[in-house]
Amino acid sequence: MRASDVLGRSVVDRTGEEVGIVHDLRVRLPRSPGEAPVVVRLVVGPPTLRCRLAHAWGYAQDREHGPGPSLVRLLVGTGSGARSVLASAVADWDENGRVRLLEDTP
Amino acid sequence: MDDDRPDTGTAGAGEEVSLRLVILDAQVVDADDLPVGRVDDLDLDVSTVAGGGPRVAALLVGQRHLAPRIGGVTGILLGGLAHHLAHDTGGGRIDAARVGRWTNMPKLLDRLDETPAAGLEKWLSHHVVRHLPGADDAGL
Repeated sequence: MRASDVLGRSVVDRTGEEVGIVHDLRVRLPRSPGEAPVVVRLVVGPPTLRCRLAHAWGYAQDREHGPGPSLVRLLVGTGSGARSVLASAVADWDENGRVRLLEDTP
Repeated sequence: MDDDRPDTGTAGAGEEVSLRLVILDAQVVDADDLPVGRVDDLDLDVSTVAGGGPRVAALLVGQRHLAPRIGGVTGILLGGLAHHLAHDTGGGRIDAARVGRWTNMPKLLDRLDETPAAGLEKWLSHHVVRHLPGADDAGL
């Protein structure tokens, strides 16, 4: 499965209720060369333009702080609404094009 | 995301980073620091759950992997062009085991000539760039 297939994919809980979409994947870097990173968390949030831009441009990850406070406030001022979901809580990465979680809405 | 530290792109071993910001679209260099291409996509092995989630199995480098991300007519044209021009044998797939560094420009353990990726880059190097004036000075 490609990473680009997961990004933007709909996430549903055990009951099938939609939780949001995947905005980002958090990976743990390997400790030595030749080893592979492992996906440890999914960043799941609402499918809003604000949340998409906040993650695509790096504001949600606290990587960007400009060009002005108004843009930062617009994108992440009250939080992007996203939350982390452990990768171990995923039951199926590709259930009819969706990511299904093991539990009810976290 | 209160528990996340800023992703600076220079995170060290064992640290957690944003795949989207730190690895995807990053410049890839070979063992001699020569540019190979960009991380156009990543192959995730969802059959493994080491550490709780899927393992990154490979870097996908090249226009043929970028085309599906772009989508639409542009993506189709880009994918078709890459298919005709690329003379690579590896399909732009670099196994994760051949990556020595993942952040601050992912660095391969192999040289450009030894990597199965960068087909279009190799083709351009051999058929276009080396014929340009001054190419000899660039060590191509």
